[in-house]
Amino acid sequence: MYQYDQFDQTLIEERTRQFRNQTQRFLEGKLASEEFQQLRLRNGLYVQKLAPMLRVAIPYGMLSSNQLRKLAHISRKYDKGYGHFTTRQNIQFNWPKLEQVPDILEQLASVQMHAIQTSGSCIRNITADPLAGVANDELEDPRPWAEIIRQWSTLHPEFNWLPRKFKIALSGSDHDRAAIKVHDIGLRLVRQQHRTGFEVWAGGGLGRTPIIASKIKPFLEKEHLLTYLTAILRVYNRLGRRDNKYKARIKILVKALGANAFSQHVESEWLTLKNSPDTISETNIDRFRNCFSKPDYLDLVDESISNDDIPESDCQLWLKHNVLDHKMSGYAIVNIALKDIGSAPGDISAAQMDLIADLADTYSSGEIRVTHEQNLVLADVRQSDLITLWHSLTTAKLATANLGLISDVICCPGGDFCSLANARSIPLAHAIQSQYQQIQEIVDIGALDINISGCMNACGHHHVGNIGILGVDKKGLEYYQISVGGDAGEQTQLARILGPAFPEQDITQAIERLVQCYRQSRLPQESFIQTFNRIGIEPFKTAAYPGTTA
Amino acid sequence: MKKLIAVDPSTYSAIDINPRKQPNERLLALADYLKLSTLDRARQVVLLEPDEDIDAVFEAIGEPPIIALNFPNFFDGRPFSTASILRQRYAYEGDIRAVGAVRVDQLEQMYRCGFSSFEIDDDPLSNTLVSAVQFFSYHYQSMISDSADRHACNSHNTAKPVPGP
Repeated sequence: MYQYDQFDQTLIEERTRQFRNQTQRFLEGKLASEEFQQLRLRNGLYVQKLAPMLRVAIPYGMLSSNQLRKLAHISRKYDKGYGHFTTRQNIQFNWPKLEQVPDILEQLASVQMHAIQTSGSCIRNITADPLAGVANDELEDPRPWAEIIRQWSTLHPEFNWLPRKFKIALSGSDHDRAAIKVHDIGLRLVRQQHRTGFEVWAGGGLGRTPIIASKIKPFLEKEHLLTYLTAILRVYNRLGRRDNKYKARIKILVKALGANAFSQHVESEWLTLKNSPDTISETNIDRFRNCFSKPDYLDLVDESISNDDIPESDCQLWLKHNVLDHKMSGYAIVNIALKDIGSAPGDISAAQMDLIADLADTYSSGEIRVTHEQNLVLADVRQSDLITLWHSLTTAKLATANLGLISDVICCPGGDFCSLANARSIPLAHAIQSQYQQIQEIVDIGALDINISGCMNACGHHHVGNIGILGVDKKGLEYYQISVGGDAGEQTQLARILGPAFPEQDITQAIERLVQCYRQSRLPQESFIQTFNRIGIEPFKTAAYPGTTA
Repeated sequence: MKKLIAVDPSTYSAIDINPRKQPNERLLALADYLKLSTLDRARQVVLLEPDEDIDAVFEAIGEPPIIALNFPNFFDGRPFSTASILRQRYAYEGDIRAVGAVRVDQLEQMYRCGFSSFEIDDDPLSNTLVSAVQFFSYHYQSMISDSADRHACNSHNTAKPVPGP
C-alpha cells in the first residue's frame, strides 16, 4: 500500500499542529464558534447529539494492520472501546472529547493517518473498489490513481470552500464496486487503442434529490486527470448554487445546465488548464504504480475443498457467501461481515480490531480493506488457510456468513447518535436481522441489499438498496418509508417509493411481505432485483399494503 | 479596525502596507468604477463581487493595478477561483486584494490562489497569526504562487520514505 515519505508526513503533522492551534483558540474564546465550526468540520469533527464525533479518513478503504491496531488503541484510550465503519470506507469515533481531538490526530499521524476533509464543504475522502488489485475482472489497479487524487485534493487552496461537500469515486473494473454513478464525480479506468484513460461521470448523488450521474467525457487521457478535475471543480465552485444548501450539490448544477452544456463549460475551462503543471508525468505515474506493487504471491494451485472436509455447515456457508475468487490461483478474498446481530452494522470493538489486524498479518498481506457495505476484506488469503481462519473469526463473532444476503444490512448511525436524523436506524437493522436468522431461509432468499438511512441525507444509501428504508418524522413519531428496486451495482438504478410510510412496529412485517412477493414471483436462479426488474413495482405495492388497492 | 497587509514573495512573510499609498483610494463597485474616466480609475480600486463573471469583466476594467475581490462571508469560496483565473488565464500581474470577511486561517489558501494583499482585522491576535501565510512546508498542487521545490508530488522522487504505516 502507499507509504508516506517525508513530504507527506510533514504535511499531516503540520495539519495536526494547525488544528491544535485552532482548537485552543476556540477553547480560549478567541475564535468565534461559527468559524471554528467550519474549520473543525474540515478536519472531520462534528458535534453530535451526545458528544463530538470524529471521522477518520481511510483513503480508498486501505488499512495496514498497524493502522488498525492504532484505531483500536484510540478507541480504548479516547472513546468507548469501539469504532463505526461508514458507507464511505471511513471510521467514526462517537465519543471523543473536543480537547483531546488534537492528541488523537497526533496518534493518527504517527501511523500515516488523518481526518483531513472527512466533512465540510470540500473534496472528501476518495473512495474506490475495495477489491482493487485482486479482483479478477480488473482492467487496471485504481489505487495509484486514487492516491494521486487524494494528494491533489488534500488542502487544495482553491476548493476548500465549495458550495457543498464533494465526493469522488474510482473503479478499475467493468463491474462497478465503487458506485461511481452516485458520486459527484465518478471515474472508471478504460482503455482505448492500448492507452489508459478515464471515463468521466459527473453530477450523481443520493441525499434529498437522488440523481444518476451523466457521462461528461468518454475518454480522458490519464496524464490530464488532475487538470480536468480542476476544471470540473472550478466550474462547480463558481456556478454551483450557494443560496440553498439543498440545491448546492453539483448534481443540481449539472441538471440545471444539462449534461452537454455542463460538459462544454468544463471543456472551455480545461483549455487554459490542460498541460499546466498539474499534468502528471510518466515518471510520477510509475512511481505511484510502484507504491502498489503486488505482494510476493507464492506459486500455488487452486485447492478443491469438498464439503466432506468441512463438517460444520456454518463454515460451508461462509465459504460459499463470504469468500470470493482471487485473480491468483491458490488465493482467496475473504469478507468479514460486521453485521453480527446485536451490534450496529459497521460497528467493531477494539478487541475485534486487534484480532483482525493479527489475522491480516498471519493469513493475508498485512492489509485490511473497508467496503462501502461496511464490511472488511482480507484480500490475499491462501485457500489452504481458509478453514483455520474461519475458526478464528467464528470465536470473535466475525464469521457471520451473510455477505450480500438479507441480514447484511447497510445502515447509518441514525437517531441514536446523529443530530440530523429523523428516526433511529440501528434498532430497525436489528429487528430485520433478528427476523432473518434461519440460515436456510436467508440463503433461499439470496442476494438482497437492505439499506437504511435515518434521514434525507441518505448516509445509509437507501436510494440504491434493493429495499431502501428512510426514516421520516410524522408529528414527532418515527415512521419509515420503504422503496424497492434500487441497485448500487453495474446497472445503478434508484429505488422507487412504494407508498405511505410505516410505523416502526409494522416494518419487519412489510419487509417480509415484499420478500414473499419476490419468492412467489421469481423464476429459477432469479435474484430479488432481477425479479423486480422483470415484474415492476406494482406486485410489490400490492403486497406491501394488503387490503388496499395500491 | 482593518489593516492592509501584503506578502513578500521572497520571504513569504506578511508585511504591513498601511497607510495606503493613495490617500484618496477607495473601493468602488464595478458599475461605479466603469463610469469613471481612465484618469480617475487610476486612483480607485475596483471591487468585484463573487457573482461577477470575471471573463466578461476583465477586458472592460482594463487591467487596473489593483483588483479587489470581496468575500461576503468567510465560507464563500468563489473568489479563490476568480483569483486563480486572473493569474492563470489572464496572466494578470497586478495586486489582487482580498477584502470583506477575510480570516487569518485562510490567508495561505488565498495567497496560493494568487491574492497578494489582504484586508484583515487589526487586532493583536490577527497580527500574531499572519505568519500563517506560509504555514505548510509542502503542498500537493501547483498553484500560481507555489515554488516548485515545495511541491510534494514533483519532489516525491527525492524524498525519504517514512517507515510504516
